[in-house]
Amino acid sequence: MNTTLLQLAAKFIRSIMLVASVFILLRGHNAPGGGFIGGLLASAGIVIYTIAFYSLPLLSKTLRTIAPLRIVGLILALGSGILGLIFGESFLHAQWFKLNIPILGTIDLSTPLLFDIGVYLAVIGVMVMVILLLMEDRKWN
Amino acid sequence: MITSVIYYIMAVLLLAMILTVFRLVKGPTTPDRIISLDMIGSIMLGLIICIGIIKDNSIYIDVILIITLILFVGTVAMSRYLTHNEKKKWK
Repeated sequence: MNTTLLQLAAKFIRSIMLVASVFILLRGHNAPGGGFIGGLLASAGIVIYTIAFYSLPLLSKTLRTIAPLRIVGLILALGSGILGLIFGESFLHAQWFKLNIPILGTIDLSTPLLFDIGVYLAVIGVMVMVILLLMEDRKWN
Repeated sequence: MITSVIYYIMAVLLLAMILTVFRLVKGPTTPDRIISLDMIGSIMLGLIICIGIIKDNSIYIDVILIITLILFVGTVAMSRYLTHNEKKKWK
């Protein structure tokens, strides 16, 4: 399914989806959004790019690049829990920091943000791996 | 005035959605079902816009943006599934 129109659209749609997923990831915790929905959106963008430019080397390369992200995400989510233990509270207790940047103003950093980024990476890795493995029923090495 | 009109608009949209679900269940061929799924998504967008006008909340606009992106992916993936199967049949 290598049609020109879809290939032209897929380049823009992938970048739009990735930007929107980061926007949704960073907006979470107070407004609708969060790590899981952002990860689903980003994985949809990556999958639509792979469908448009369908070829076996691209599929294998995407799997090798994206699939290890799930391990990184799980380690980040675990680390955000351990940070609560380090600061003397219970496991997964939220810690808030204020970061002063001269031009941009103050930014609130927290361990829930770290946990959400971990969920985001884990969802991207798992969803892209599942969809690309279901697309073609042959063994990958 | 617009909040009293909105309920009639939602009723018409729900009627359209019922008819489309009928086509989705009955539809003789697979392209019928794909088109009806896409149309159900579009009708759902209209309903969400109506709910956003009633509630007077701007967060529904973002919901609509995300649903349009996801809807496109579903249609493309299903049509790819169709062409893939046909190619296998012709071989």
